[in-house]
Amino acid sequence: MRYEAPTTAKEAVRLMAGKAGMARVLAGGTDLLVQIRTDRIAPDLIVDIKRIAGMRSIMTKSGGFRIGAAVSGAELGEHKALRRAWPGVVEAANLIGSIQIQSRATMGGNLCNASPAADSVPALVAAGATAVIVGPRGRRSLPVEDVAVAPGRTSLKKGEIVEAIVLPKRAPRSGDAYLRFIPRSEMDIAVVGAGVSLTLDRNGVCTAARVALGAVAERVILVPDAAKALIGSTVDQAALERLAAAASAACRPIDDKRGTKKFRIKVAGVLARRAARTALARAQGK
Amino acid sequence: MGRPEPRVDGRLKVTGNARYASDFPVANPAHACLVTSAIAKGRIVSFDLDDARAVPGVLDILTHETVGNEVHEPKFFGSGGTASTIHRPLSSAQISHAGQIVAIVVADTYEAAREAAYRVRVTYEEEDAATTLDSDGVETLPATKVRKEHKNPRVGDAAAALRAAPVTIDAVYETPTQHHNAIELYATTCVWSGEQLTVYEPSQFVHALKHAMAEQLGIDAEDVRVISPYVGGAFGSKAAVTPRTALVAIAARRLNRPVKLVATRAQGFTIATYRAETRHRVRLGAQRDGKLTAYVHEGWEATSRLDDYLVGGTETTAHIYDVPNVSTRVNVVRTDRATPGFMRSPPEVPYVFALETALDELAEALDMDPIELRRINDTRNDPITGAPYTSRSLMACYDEASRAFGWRRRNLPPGSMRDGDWLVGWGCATAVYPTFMGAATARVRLARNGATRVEIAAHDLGTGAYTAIAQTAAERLGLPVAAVEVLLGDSALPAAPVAGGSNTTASCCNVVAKACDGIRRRLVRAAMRADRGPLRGRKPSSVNFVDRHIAGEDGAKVSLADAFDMLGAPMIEEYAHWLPHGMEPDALKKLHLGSAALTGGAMEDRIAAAFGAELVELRVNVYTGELRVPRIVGAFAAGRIVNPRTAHSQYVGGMIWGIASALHEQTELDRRVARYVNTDLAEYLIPVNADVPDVQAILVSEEDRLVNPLGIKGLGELANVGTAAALGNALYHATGRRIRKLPLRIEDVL
Ligand SMILES: Cc1cc2nc3c(=O)[nH]c(=O)nc-3n(C[C@H](O)[C@H](O)[C@H](O)COP(=O)(O)OP(=O)(O)OC[C@H]3O[C@@H](n4cnc5c(N)ncnc54)[C@H](O)[C@@H]3O)c2cc1C
Repeated sequence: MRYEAPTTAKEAVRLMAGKAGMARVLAGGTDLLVQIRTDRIAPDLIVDIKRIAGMRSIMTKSGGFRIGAAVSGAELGEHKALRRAWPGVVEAANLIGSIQIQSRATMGGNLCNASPAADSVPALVAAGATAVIVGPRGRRSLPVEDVAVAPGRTSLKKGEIVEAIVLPKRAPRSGDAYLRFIPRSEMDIAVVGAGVSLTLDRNGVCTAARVALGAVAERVILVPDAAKALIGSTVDQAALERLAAAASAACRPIDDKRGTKKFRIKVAGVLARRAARTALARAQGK
Repeated sequence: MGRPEPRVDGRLKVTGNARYASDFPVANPAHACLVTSAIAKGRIVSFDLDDARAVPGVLDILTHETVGNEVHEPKFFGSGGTASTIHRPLSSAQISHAGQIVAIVVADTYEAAREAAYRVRVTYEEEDAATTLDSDGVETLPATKVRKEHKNPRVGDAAAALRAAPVTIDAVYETPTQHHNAIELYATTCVWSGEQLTVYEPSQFVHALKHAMAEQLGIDAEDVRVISPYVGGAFGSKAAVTPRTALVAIAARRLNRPVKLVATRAQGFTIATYRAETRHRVRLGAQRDGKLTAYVHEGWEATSRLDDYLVGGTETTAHIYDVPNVSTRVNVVRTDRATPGFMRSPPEVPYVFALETALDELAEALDMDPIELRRINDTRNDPITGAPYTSRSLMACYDEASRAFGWRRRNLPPGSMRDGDWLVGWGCATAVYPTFMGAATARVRLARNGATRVEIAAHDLGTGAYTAIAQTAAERLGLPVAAVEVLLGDSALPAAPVAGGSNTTASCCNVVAKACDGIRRRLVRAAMRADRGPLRGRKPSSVNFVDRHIAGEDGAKVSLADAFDMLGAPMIEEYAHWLPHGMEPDALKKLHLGSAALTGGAMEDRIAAAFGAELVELRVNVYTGELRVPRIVGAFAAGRIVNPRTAHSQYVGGMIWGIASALHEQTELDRRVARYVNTDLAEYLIPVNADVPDVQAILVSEEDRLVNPLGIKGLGELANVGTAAALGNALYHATGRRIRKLPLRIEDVL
C-alpha cells in the first residue's frame, strides 16, 4: 500500500489516474480507515488531499460559498457567514460523529463514501449544492445528488476527485434545515434523514423549495413532489401534510436492525414536515 | 469504613499509570494473532499456510495438526472446574461454533502476525448449524438432567392454586443474546522462565487461572504465576478460563520467547463467553386484593453442545415474594454456538425481567398501583423454606425511590400522561441480588510507623475493591487510608475468591478485618501487659484503634509506636482465613485449588439478599415512536456500605446498563449460519451520555447483624437487575402496549 500526500490538485489527479490498482482519496479518513481496518477494502494507493491548499479553505464566491474538499466539519461549524447563510447544511455536517470525528470528517468524504445514510448529503441536495470535480480531463460540476449512485458507488471516473462543494447564493427570505432520526441520542447511523430548503416571497408564499431524504433508498434522493407540495403555499398545515405524504411516498427503504421499512416510510414524512417547519421559521427570520 | 473515600487507584488510572495485562513490559515479545472459524459446525479439511509462512517475521503457526493433544482437557466451571468450556483448543479438526480458534499465528511484530493470519486459508466441510432456541436441530433438556445439583425451587401446589385463582396472568417473555464488551480486550501474555510460567491476563480469578494452566499444560501449579492487578472491565467475561490462554502458553514454550496476544473486539464475541438468549413462560395467580397465590415459571436458556451452562434464575425469583404455591422448571437448549457464561447478574437479569413484567401485568389486571402489589406480597421470610431474611428493605427502597421520583402523581390508566408530542409512562420494578460470600485468606503487615500492607489475591475490576479493602484495614488499625497499601490480582498473594457473585467486598473485607484484629490483639496485649503505660491492666474489649493510637474509652491512650516498643518488634504480620456462614469446611482447600465455591443466597437456615427499587420515566414520541428515558431513580439497600462513593458509582453504572439492556443491547444472530453480525461497538449499541440524562441512586441504610461479621452485602450486580422490566412497564404505561421481548424497539410501539 502506497501513501502519497501531494500539494496540488493536479498532482493528486495524476496519482489517482496512474496505473496502480485500487486508488482511494484520503480526506478525514473516518470512513476510509475504518473500512481498511475491517478488511472491507485494501487500496494499493492512498492519496491524502489535506496538504492541498486549495482544498483546505472556505471561500465566498459571488454570494455563495466554495468549500474545499478537505475542510473538516469543525471548520464548517466555526464559519459564521456560512452558518448564517446555510444553517441546515452546517447542522447536518456537524451531526456527523463526535467532536473527535468532527475535527477530521469532511463533507466531500461523506458524499464520496456514498452511504445512503450520509448526514450532510440531504442538506446539500436540498441546498442545491454542486460538486466541483477535477480529473484527467479537467474540471466539471455535478449536482450533489448525482454523485452517489448506489451504496459505496459514485459516478466519479478513474482519476477524478471532488475538489470542492459549492453552495449557491442565498435568496432573501430563505431557510434550510436538516433532521435525522437515530435510535439512540448520539453517535448513530441515520434511520431517516430529511433536508429541506425553501424561499418565501414578501407575502410569505413559498416560491421555491427542495426536499431531500436520506437512508430511505439506495442513495440520497431529491423528492420534487414534496417540494411541489410547498410551492405556492404559505407552508401551512395542509401543505405540510401534503409534503409529509409525498416524502413517505418517495421512500423505497430496506429493513435493518435500526428500523423497519414501515417505520422509515412513516418517519420520513414526520421528519420532512419538522424540517420544513424549521426551514420556514428561518426563512421568516425567526 | 462508610466514608466516601476517593478511589485509591484513581490517580494511577487517570494518569495512565495503572498497568493492565497487555501493558506489562516483557523482554523481546513475539506477537500472536488468532484465526477463527468461518463456519459454525463441521470440520476443517485442510490448511493452506504457504502464503502466511511467506510473510517476513512469521515464527510459528499453530493448528490442530501441530498442537493435537498438547492441551489437556479443561474442566468446565459449571461442573466444578475452572474453564469456560471443556473444548480442547486446536486438538482436532472439529468445529463446534463460529469463531472458534482454528489457528494462532506468531510473529516478530503484531503487524506481521496479523498479515499472516489474514493469509491463512482454511478449507472446511460445513454442516447445518442450529442457531438458537427454536432452530431445527437443537436439543432441549431439563436442567435437572444435565446438572445434578440444580434444584427447581417449588412449594405447595401451584397448579391447583392457579386453577383456583380469581385473577391469573400467563405470558411468554424473551431476552436476547448479549456480550460483555468490556473496553479492555481479551489479552494474554505468557512468559516462561525454565519450568516457570508467568501469565499476564485480565482475570476475575487469578488462583483459578493458575490451576487451570497447571492442569491444561500438565505442569506444577506452584510453577504458575498469574498477574492481573488492574482489569479494564470484566462483567463475568474474565472469570472462567478461556481456551486462548493455554495456546499462548504453548506458543511461548515452543519459541522459548514471551508471546503476547490481544484479540480483536470481533474475536472477543466468540473466543470467550456471553449472555445467552432466554425464554420464559410465567403464570401468576392472585386474589382480587392482590395477594399472590401461585407462581409458575419455566425458563429456556441457550447453551452449547459441549457444555451445559445454566443460569437457572428461578433460584432467585422463587424467593422474592410471599407466594405459598411455587413451581419452577428450567431447561437448557443445546445449540451450535460457543458456551455462554457469567454476565453481570447472570440469573437475575433475564428471570427478574420476566417476573417483574408479569407482576406489572397482574397489577394492571387488578387495577392496582404496581408498588402496592409488591407491598402486599412483601415478606420477611423465604417463601420456599420459611427461613428468615438476614435483613430485607425492599419496601423501604420503594418508599424512598417513590418520594424522590414523585410517584404519587402517577395516573393509573395507561396512555393517560402526555407532554406535548410525548406519551409519558412511569414504571417500576424490583432489583434483587442474593448475597454471596466465599472463603478467603489475607495477609496484613503493620509497621511501627503505621505503614500497612494488605496482601490478598482479590480483584478490582474497576469496582473499587482496592479502596474498600484499604478503608477496612485503615479503620481497624486506626490509620488514614493513605497509610495502607493494598496488593491485589496476583496469584502469589493469599488466595481470595472469584470476583463473581458480587462477593468481593463481603469476603475480602471480612478476612482483612480478621487479619487486622490479629494485629490489634498482639499490640493491645503488649500495651496492657507493659509495666508502665496508661492502658496497663485494662480489658482488651475496652480499647479501640483511633488516629494512630490505642485508646481507652476514658481518653487514655498509647501511640502505635509506643505499643510496638512495648512489644519489642518493629512490625507485625498476620495471616488470616475466613469462612462465611454456611460454607463447607473444605472450602479453603477448594479455594487454594481455584474453585469458585460460594455460599449465600437461599441457605437452609436463612436467606441473604440485597434489594432495590427502580422507578423510571419513559417517553414515547407519538409521531416517530422514539423511546427516551429522561430519568431513572433507584433506591438500594445492601447492608453496610463500605464506601458510598464507589457503591453509588456501581448503582449508577448498573442502572445505565439496565437501560442499555432494555433499549439498545443485543447481539444479532444470523440464524442461517449461527454467526454474530454486529461484532463491534458501532453496531453493538450501548447508551451514550445523551441517552441517560438523569440517573439517581439512593443508598438506603440497612443494618444486617447476621449476614457476616461486618454486615456487608454485595451490590455490584444489583442495580442492573429489574431495570429492563421497569422500562417495559413504563412503555406499557405510556402506550398501553405490552412488549414482552427485549430490547424494546421503536417498531413495537408504532
Ligand atoms: C465514530 C464515527 C461516527 C460517525 N458518525 C457519522 C454520522 O453521524 N453521520 C454520517 O453521515 N457519517 C458518520 N460517520 C462516517 C464518516 O465520518 C463520514 O461519512 C465523514 O463525512 C467522512 O468524511 P472523511 O473526510 O473522513 O472521509 P474519508 O474517510 O477520507 O473518505 C470517505 C470515502 O470518500 C472518498 N473520498 C474522500 N474525499 C474524497 C474526494 N474529495 N474526492 C473523491 N473521493 C473522496 C474516500 O476515498 C473514501 O472512499 C461516522 C464515522 C465514525 C468513525
